[in-house]
Amino acid sequence: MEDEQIVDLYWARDERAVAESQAKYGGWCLAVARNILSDGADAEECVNDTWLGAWNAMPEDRPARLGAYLAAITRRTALNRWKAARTQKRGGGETPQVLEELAECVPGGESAEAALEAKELGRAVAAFVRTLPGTERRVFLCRYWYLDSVMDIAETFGFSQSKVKSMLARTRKKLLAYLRKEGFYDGR
Amino acid sequence: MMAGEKLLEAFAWVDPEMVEDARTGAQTRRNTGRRALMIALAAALVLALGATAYGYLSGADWFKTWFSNRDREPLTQGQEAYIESAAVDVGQSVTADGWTVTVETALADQYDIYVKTRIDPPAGVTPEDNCKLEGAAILDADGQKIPFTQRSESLTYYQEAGAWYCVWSQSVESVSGEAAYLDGRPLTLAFEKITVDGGMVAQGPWRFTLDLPAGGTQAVELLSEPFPCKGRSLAYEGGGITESYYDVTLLSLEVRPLRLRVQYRSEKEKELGDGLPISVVLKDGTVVPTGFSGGSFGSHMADCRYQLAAPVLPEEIAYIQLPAGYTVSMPE
Repeated sequence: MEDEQIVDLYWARDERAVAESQAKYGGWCLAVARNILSDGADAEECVNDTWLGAWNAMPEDRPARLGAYLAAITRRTALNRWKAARTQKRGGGETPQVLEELAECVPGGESAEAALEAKELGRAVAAFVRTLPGTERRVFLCRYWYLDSVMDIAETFGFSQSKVKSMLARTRKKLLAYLRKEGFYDGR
Repeated sequence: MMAGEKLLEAFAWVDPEMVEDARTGAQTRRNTGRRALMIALAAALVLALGATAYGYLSGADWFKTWFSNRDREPLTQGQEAYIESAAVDVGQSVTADGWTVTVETALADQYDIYVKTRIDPPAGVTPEDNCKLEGAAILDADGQKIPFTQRSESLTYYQEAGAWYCVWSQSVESVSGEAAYLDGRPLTLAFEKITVDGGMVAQGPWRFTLDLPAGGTQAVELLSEPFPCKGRSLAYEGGGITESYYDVTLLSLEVRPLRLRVQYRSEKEKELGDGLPISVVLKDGTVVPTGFSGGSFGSHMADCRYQLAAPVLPEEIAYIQLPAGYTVSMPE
């Protein structure tokens, strides 16, 4: 079924919307959740929460790209679950390693936290990603949007793991430079 | 919350098109992994025979490869013909503070310029990550900087065979509304410094005088009267990215080989499409995406530029795709 038809089902409050979403994007969303959470059952619950989230968000929303929209809900839900699990000391998946890598892009660590206003930071990250050439952008997003493991990325792109690590390190440095240039660490 | 977590959450703002592309593009790579391996082996063989990837390419051939890779689409005959008419081999080198900058090739229409430069460090210095050319300017006959409507931007940096390469772009339309150069009039380009990880390692200037053909294609205005349509706004709320649309009236939509210029009126003073949904659709169905590359915003008025991922020829264009399904066709 086409995305637009699935969205129409959500808008019509027709429960087939969930079944169609599951059939078309269930695997994609589950992969996103599994990358973030180590617990398979948690990941599956996350995907179920995604359909509920989409059900509640539509009909006000009318996403033009349903797959990315649903995956974004999964990602958000999984990160929230990961945080809750961390407080109970059972977090897992790729998340701790990814957070450690991204901390390199935030000079001053905790002290810079106040400066990172979510909305502006989000816009800046989106603008930065637009500047990246195709393969570099895909590798970067596979790691930091989808939280794919370095091993999986290397296999997917046909690169060595050291090449992937080096590409990611270089792009993180670019991101740091970009955020500095945009004034994120200049006393804001 | 840790700063790393905020940054991880900030990725949720990345354009949905790119999120989708990262997955579908990666799957395509996976499916063609064996082919890629064979190509890599073939490339390695070529390197072993003593050629470098771009070493024997003319400026036009280099730009064809670069634009094609950037756009991820094969170029049309018209696009290739345009690049051949506009790209020039330059080969000018300037050394300052021990660092040599070489403008290898350039491509321009009357309003925008792309320059490929090579940056060679002094002997014994190994180029490091984030080696950059900074302080780019285009100068008038008196050596004064010409103020432009758009800032310059570095599009790609890459390292190859012990040197750094940069593809750099600048609108050469001055704020006075005149192109900075016309066919047959040289253009003086200068870079002020080289930085590594943000710290200056060499002080210039590296100054070049470029005699560029103007690409031979004028701007084409598509609108004969105001055109009501929609602008797109992205927001991240409630766990997902949402799109909303607002009323916009286009006052001018001008196509140039390398860039679109859009002037519009709106109650919302923001960029027409939050970056991505404006594209050029060619008659053969090829879609050439654009990226927002800056604009000036006044009281409910905006004048924005969108850089094309690859050059276009007006005669090959079918229509311009705008947000919310609106299109503007090329005039007959």
